[in-house]
Amino acid sequence: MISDIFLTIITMVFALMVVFSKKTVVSAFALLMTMLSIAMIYFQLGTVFLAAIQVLINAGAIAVLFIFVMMLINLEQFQNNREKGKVKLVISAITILIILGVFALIINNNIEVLAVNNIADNSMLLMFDKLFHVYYLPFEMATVLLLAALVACVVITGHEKNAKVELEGDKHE
Amino acid sequence: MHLNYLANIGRYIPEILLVILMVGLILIEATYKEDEKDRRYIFITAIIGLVATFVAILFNMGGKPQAIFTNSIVIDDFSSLLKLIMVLGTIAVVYLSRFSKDIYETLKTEFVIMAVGILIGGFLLASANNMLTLYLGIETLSILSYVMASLKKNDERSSEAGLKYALYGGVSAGIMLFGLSHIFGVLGTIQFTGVAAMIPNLTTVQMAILMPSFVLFFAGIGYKIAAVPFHMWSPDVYEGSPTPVTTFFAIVPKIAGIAVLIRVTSVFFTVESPMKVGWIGLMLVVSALTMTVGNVTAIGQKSVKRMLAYSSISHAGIMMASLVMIGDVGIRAVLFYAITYLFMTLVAFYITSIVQDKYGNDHFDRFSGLIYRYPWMAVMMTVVMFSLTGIPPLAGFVAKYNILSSLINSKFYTLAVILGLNSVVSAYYYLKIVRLMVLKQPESEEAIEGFGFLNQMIIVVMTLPIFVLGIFWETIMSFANVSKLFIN
Amino acid sequence: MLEGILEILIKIVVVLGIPLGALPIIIHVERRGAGFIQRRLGPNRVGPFGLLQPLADVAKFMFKEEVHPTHVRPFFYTAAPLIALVVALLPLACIPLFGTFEFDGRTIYPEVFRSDMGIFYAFAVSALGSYGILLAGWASNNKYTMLGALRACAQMVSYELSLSTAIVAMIFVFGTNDIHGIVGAQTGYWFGFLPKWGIFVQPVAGMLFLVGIFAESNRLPFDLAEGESEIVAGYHLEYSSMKFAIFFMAEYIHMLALSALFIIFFFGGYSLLPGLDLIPTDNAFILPLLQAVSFITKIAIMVWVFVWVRWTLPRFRYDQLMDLGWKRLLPLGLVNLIVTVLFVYFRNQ
Repeated sequence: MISDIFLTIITMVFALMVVFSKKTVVSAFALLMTMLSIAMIYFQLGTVFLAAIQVLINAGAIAVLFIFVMMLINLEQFQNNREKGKVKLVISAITILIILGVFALIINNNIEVLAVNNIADNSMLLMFDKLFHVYYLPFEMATVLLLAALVACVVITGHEKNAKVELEGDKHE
Repeated sequence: MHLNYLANIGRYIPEILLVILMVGLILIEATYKEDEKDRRYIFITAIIGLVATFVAILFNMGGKPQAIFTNSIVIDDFSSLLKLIMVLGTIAVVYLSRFSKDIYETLKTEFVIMAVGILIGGFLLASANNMLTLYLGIETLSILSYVMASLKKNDERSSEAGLKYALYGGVSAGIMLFGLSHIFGVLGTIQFTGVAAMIPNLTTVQMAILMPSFVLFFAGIGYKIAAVPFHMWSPDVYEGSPTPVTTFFAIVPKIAGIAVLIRVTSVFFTVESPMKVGWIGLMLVVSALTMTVGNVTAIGQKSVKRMLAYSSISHAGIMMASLVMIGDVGIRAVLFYAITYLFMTLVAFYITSIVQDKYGNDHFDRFSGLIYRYPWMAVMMTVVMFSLTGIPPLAGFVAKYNILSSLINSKFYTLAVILGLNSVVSAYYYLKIVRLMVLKQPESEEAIEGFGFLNQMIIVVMTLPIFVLGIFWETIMSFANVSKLFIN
Repeated sequence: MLEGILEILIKIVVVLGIPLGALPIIIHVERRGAGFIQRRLGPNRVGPFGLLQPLADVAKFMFKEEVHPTHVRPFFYTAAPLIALVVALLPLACIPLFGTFEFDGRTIYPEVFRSDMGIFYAFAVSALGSYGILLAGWASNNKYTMLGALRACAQMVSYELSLSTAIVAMIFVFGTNDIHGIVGAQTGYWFGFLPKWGIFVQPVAGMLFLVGIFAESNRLPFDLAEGESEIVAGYHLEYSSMKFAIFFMAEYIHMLALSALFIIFFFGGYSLLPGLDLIPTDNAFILPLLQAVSFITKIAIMVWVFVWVRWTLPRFRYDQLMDLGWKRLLPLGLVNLIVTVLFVYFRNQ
């Protein structure tokens, strides 16, 4: 119980830091810490494999790329340029109230249809059983999605075919 | 288990063909790309693959609806019909990209590959039976669309289009997932049929949690079909993208989004429940707004492509209007409208693209006097514009009349009035082109290369269904009558 | 309950103590080994064979003036070495020094952290290794450190991929991701004399993993992060005295952890060295002791290989490094994976 509350508070603090911090790199690092906190929540819910994958991929590769780009593009001069508006404030307040209301309803009525709260000895086996026997079509289609994303990335960043860069060191071969 | 896989795969052949086609195209491009002549191989392979998919879908039709792959995908006549529309649209757009100057020579093959990828996403969406497949379909559609929108690398409007689309799409996907996760958390299942079984028996608390979640879910789908509160990306994206890409966006993602909206509406909300009232109210408001905003904004446009983009928003609004009549009547009307919408959009964009290639921009004045230089093309464009407005005896009229009469029968009088008024207003900008083409003198007498004999033939062939469907619409109607959804 | 806590405390002390205690020995081996390879004497003044040199180094680090540059970003500058050290120590939590044994009626697992994911934990946390360097380079507000940090980070992320393909192939072959299971599958002999080590089953994966761990720990020939002749000292340029010592320690401990992983997958982990299994194991403590001795010997040999390679091979150029990682090792790893999967599938039929 205490660890639940603690983890939730940490995650929310870091997530709010992502949105509200004035420096972009601090924001990116807060994103990294949010992902690590979510990994801890996953671990606590019993899905250890998801926790490992969250750290490995989200925190270890995706957040690195974010931070990489933030460091390369030094955005200091754009930082204090946020627009403030009355309408935006009112609409944000209403949205937040509605969402908080939904959360309050969920918590007060103990809506836990699928609660997994212990670190089972075969949690990976359970998860992969579901993944490969029930949801295998989405799994395979996700590979098509990845292939498509790969093609898309190459298209958007690819150089023209005949622009090849020659280096000094290659000439001696 | 193995036998189960094989039986499932037998009904899934169109998508498998498409995946093999995409991988094959990538391999061919990797080996062949040096020579310009070899680009033909990729186009030929793509067209053959797409036609084979078309035939495979035709073979798939006519069976009873069936859920395959442990209920993730539904193969029924409804989704097959929409898939046919999407494949036809893709074939036409692939051919358009071949001779369009808007897509750089070195990127033409990538365009084809990405178009096939988007088609796979559209197929997934049209057949989705659980939330996971729905999300996968939307993401496959979206990710490739972001890049296709920015294919004109030297034009900053194209990059702006891609960036706006990507940012907007990323946020919308996140919002949709938020809503979907709440639906899953409360009801405990991601299958559509499972959710549908639980909706009539909700407690008040669950309903209070689910109503915002369904609104968020609708936000994600509404973004895809450019419904009104979520349409802000579409003008810039449609204008900045190269014209074949805009054609593609006006057809495949819209039809796929409408497909999933129909499926969700018809599966979740058949039984009377407070949620159904809320959903219908939402659809009423959104479709009325979409029609109106699309029409009103299209009036002031100076560029034909942008006008067509706004008009496609209003047509999506009309298709959504027929969704408020949940049941066979509404689905029949939407299917017929989708078929006519396909042909009208294709012809309009083809002609616009060819004119734009010649003159560099597509303002209304470029169409002046087209009837003196290319009479057939001007006639086809006129036919399409009349059909878009809804003038008999063309297919557009039959489609709109169908929806209008069904709305009046189901007592949605306000929406019917709005629909009628919008059709009148849309006459202004559609007939503006007709007036310019027929009644003004041409600006210059040069020949437009895009209007070669083959292209003119193709445009005429694509316009023919508009005539045919306008007169012989009973066959299609009865055919669309048979297409039923799968409800467990 | 109380014995559980006591057990965990003892494990933590051992797992933290052994690497930190072995650190001076590794440093000494590196410096004497460097001298040996370069045909000169290493440090030999402070104590017999220079064995007290690390002590002198520690004393130097503690008493050196700590320069606090004013142009660095304060929080991240101080945080970076700590992050590097912690992330380097984390993989050690799941590595057992010897096998499970019975004590007082309960089985004791000698690793600190035991879970369902087994060896995946080690790879998950070593993926975080790029942050220490990245933070250090960026927080120092210096062109050269920034370059070094970005290059090192790109290199680590790229080589993690080929590392992962090698790991997945090995897990297919062994059928489990529990470390005790993996080592158990490598005990015994083929033909009476050839130990059933992973390197004989999957030499390609072994080579990939070896190259990968050199890249992960930023050791030559992959040490662009601190390429001395190019960017002065790379990412730890602006650090002095104790903070620099922490980076130093972090690098060696990372090296130690990665060589332990390599030994686990490819050289039998804590399974006994070929001669040692003839010793009779009546007492319950003899077997764990022998296993620990075997494991430590194998790790020591691996650390010597690290030192050996460092002073033998020249450094890669950055584009050669990226070329190697993406265009050669990754396809090799994927092909190896496919062949392994097919092989395992047909073997199980």
